Amino acid sequence: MKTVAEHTERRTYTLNMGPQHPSTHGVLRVILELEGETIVDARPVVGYLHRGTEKLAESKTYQQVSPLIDRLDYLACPAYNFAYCLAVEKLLGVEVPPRAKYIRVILAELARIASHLIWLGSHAMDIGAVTVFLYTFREREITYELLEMAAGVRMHQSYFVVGGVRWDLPEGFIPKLREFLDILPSKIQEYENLLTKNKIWRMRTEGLGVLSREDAIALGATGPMLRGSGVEWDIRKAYPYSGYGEFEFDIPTGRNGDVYDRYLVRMEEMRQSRRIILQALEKLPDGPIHAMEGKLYFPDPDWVRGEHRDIAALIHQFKLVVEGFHPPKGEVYQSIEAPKGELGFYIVCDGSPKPYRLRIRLPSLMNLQTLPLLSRGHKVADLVAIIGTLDIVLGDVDK
Amino acid sequence: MPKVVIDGIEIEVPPGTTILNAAQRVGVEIPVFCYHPYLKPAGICRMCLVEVEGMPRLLPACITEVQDGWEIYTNSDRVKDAREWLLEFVLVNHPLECPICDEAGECELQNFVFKFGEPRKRLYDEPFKYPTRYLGPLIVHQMNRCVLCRRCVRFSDEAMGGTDWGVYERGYRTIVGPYERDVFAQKYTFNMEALCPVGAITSNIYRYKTRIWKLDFTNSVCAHCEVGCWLDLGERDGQLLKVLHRRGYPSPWICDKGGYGFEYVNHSERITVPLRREGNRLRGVTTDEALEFVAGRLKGLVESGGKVAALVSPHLTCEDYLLMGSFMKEVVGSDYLDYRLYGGNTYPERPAVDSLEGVEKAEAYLVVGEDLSVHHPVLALSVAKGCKEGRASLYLIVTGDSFLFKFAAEHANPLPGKEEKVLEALASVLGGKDYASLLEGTEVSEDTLKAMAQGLQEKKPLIIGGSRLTPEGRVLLKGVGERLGITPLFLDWGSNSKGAFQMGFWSPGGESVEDILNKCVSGEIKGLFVSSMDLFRDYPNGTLVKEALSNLDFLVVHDMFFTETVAYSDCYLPATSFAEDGGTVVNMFWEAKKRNRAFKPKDESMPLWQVALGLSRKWGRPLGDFGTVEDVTPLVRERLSQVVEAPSTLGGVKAAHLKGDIPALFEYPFYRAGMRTDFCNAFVQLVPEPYVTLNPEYGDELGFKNGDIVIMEVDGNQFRMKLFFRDEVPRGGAIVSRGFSDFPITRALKGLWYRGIELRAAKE
Amino acid sequence: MVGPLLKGLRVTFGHLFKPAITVKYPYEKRPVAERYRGRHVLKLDEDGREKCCACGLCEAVCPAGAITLYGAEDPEFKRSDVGKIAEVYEIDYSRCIFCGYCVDACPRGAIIMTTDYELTVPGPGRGHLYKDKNWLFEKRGGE
Repeated sequence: MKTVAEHTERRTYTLNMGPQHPSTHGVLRVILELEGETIVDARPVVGYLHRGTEKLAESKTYQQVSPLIDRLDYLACPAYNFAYCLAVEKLLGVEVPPRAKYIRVILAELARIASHLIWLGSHAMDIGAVTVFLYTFREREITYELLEMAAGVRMHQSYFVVGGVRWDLPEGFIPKLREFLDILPSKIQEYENLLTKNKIWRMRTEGLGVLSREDAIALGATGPMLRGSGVEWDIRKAYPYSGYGEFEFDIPTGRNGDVYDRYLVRMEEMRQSRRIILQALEKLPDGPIHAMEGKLYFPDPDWVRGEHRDIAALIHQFKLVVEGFHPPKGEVYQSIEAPKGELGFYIVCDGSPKPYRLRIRLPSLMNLQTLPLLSRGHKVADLVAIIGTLDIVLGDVDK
Repeated sequence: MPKVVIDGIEIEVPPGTTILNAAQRVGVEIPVFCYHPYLKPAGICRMCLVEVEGMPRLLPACITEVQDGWEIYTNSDRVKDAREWLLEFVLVNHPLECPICDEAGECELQNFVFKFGEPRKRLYDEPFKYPTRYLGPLIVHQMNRCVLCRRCVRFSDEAMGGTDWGVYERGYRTIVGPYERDVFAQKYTFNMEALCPVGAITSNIYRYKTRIWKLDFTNSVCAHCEVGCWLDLGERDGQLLKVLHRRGYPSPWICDKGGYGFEYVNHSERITVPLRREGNRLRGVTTDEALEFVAGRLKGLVESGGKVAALVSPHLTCEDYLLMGSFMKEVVGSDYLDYRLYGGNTYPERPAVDSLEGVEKAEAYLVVGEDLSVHHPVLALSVAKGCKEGRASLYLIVTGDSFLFKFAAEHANPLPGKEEKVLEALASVLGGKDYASLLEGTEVSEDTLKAMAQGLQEKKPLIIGGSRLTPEGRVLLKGVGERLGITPLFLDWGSNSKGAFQMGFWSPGGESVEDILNKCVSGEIKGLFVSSMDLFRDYPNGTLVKEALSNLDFLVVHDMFFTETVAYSDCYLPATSFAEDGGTVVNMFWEAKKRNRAFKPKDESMPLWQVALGLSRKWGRPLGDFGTVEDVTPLVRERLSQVVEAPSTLGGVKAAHLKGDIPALFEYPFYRAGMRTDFCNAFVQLVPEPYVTLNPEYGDELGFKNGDIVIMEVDGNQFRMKLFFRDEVPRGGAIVSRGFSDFPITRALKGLWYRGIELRAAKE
Repeated sequence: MVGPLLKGLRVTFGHLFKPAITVKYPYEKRPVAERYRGRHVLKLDEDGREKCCACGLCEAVCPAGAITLYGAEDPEFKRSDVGKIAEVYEIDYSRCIFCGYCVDACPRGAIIMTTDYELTVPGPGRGHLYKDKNWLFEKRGGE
């Protein structure tokens, strides 16, 4: 029982920034302890978008899990698919054919550009620069059209499968991609013109949400959160996967670890992604797009229902659907540099066609851990900028 | 003991072990097509080829016996290539029918091609096309898909003693199938369908309905006969669509009744709401109302001094018998209970062997008083097994046996009604007394009996007393057994008569069903509760049943369909099938087995134990608080562990009435025996109408032709039926089919299964 | 301080003279890609018979369990060229995730996804979203 004196001694004001909020980028709930307008503590409460992905994956075959993974970070679906397929391929010990590797890199980097575009748009809009939002969506629309051309839908493509990619790139894709890459630098310049030297922007973002090097490493922040604090760590360079070792690109880092630095890091990342895509387009070879044809994903439709129908191909199609391939027993962890940070899949396989355990290391969830640290001492109005700089997507936080 | 190394693992095996068996011991898997654990290995398919160090060719693992010091590789490059190429050859002629083939999901060819084959074959040719044969309502034979493993032919030869199924032509034109028949339904056809590794033999009942991976399988026990084979019931959306037999025990084989006899569960004519009689109509009511009504009327009857009886089917679970028995004995206060609705007056006896393996170990068999392949089909296969392999001799004293006689060393085929006479004669022979006079009029020769007696004394036989034996017959058989130093194994009707007996569902005074029905006629018993059986179909005295039911004040019937018994009832309570409720059943070896529920009871259907519970609640003296059947099981287990003494029933049964020209045995055809088989559409198609069978020579003597329409006259009743000639009928006798709920054959019987009949040609 | 602000304003005002990029749906519709994964359609073959033979692969591969399928025999080969048809074929559009696995899995190419994405239903209640065979067929439901 508190005395009256003790009651009146309490000086922080608890404010619920509830799951329904236009600036929390999803259903994020933050419980704020305020002293006037200054934040003493900001505790994020997550789980409002939890859909049981890891548990659902235990009852689906390896192929059927892909659509679940798409829906984790719904703004950069190819990247997440990429990580999952790489993990299963590592478990199987399968090497993907070169054409499929390069197609994956192209689409993953395109997803990175798309993800950063929407990050920029919503971050700027939260701080107040609503115009930027509409401009970035104009560019993002082109990425949607590109993905629609390749996979058939704008989001949740499930384009990558274990062993390769589902279909080859269609005919108009590469010209349109080149067109997009041609206009991209000028568009990025447009955004920079609006924001980078803008006094209002700098006042709102500089010095805000400073994450020191040590704190970033200690809290497990990855991606631009880590690089903005000056740590030169990118999994594409540290543990190259899927042919990234052959490409030349830089890793942008920041100096101070504040919101402004991270903004600059991400803008530069977009430019570097463009560089990677151009190199991949140069090197794109011809060839098959599946490894171990017929054993991991459906065989060529021509062999199943086309002119060159084959009973063996039909049988493989049947068994892949009804049973699925059996990876060898074992465990594997494979991580990639997703747009938001390190995305890792830990799969435990017991020899059956369904994963025994699928554990997902989500970048946004880990980055969200830094929120209390970043926001202490700042004003409530700055909280929105901090949440924006974390670049979280709630699907990525809650699974 | 030879020592071998398989894939690097060393093992010592007994001499004579094949490579395949040795590999199974160490857990190494070798793919096989034609090998089956319960058939003799044949080495036909060559899928099991393995490499042995030092041998120039690859050896078939299923038939090659290991030699000391061999090093065996089951996954070397040569073996892998061999498997790949073999599958390519098998696929050359295989049609692209996976989308419509019912075997998809359990097809061994699919599994092997996925594991060991390549997604493209290199040989392109038009496959040789065979026609699809619909061999009756049970199976469909599509030769296009056959991989010539010959499992079906080997099963037919080894287990069934040879049927019309064989391999014809040769080379690429080889056909496997029946030679003469258009309808192949030989009691064990289900096994052939289960053995076939591809979709060449598929079920016509399950055809195309759904895919096997959509079915949920529940473990249960078959309800048709006492052997109690384990079944896996496949249900989808509350429909029982397929049944699998996946366990190798008690027997790897199952009969057609178990495998195909479940269509009645989802029959469209099933009535799943209670009905109550109002004048001439039966009106649908709620379960509450119905139970209230029944409890009220029964209470009224009991309070006014009338008696109530309960007759239930011997196919239900122990929980049903226990609670219904408690209701009748403790709440209603009545002792008139019985389950022996197939007739007869014997109680179950403890078995002489405890499993089918014990049966298969015997060196000789004496079977008396039942065609085992009709009422205990899997037991017949076990008996036949030893005889086929030459290990055992079989001696039959059975009228009209249709299966085991092929394996019998000595076969006595007495006239209907004379089986026990022959048994008496056998006892006399063994006792060294005169027996010729006893054999008069039985159509069994003295030589047969002498040879039989001699054979029985040479090797210790397993004596099987069939369900047709009267109490006197059982005493005789026990006497024979005593002389030979053996206790016989007695068989009963129904699938859980042992359970019913153990739960005490019988009258302590030893009254038989006949006594109870007579008391109904006399008015002493005023109320009757009948469950899960159509008395007019199965009880061998249709006239008595009619009189009894007409004289009752109150009749409650608990059943699934609108049978003739229901037409006499005052209240109808809907029953569940064996798939909708769990419970314990006791099989012929007094082994308790657990059934599980595949899906919830349809609409208002209730199992018998729930009816008893509901009635007791409405009466005001609830039996207890039981939510599910598992709550009752502990009580059942307790009762099962007690010893129950049966009263003596000698002298209670009247002798068979055999006035009339031709002594006839009234016996179920295979596809009409068992529970509710007249609502299984496939079986009804196979045996649509009742018929009389005569021995061909005797039929010629009487001036008939095979396929004639005849009038059978018994006691002034005339039955119009078809006549068939069958070799297994004894000369001078006839066998009449029964078990048709829409044909009143039981009017011709008077308590036992033999009657003298008169036959004459029907005037067109 | 003013310089960067003016630069930004120049960007914004520049857009006044550029064409608008808004697509005025539903009066204008953006063309969709050839591979678009819209509504499903069950195809007929050249003789007008159903291609779908109820093999159940689409039902088995669907990650969401949106397809329900019961087969039946067509002994006279009237409605199918192989003697087997789907008696019940339902897609539950409240569960369908438009992943396209059913199209990939179909061994006869009987189910395809069209470019039709306008799938709103007339009223509340999920019953509207269970589309059965009639609706999915080429002739009647599928354009």
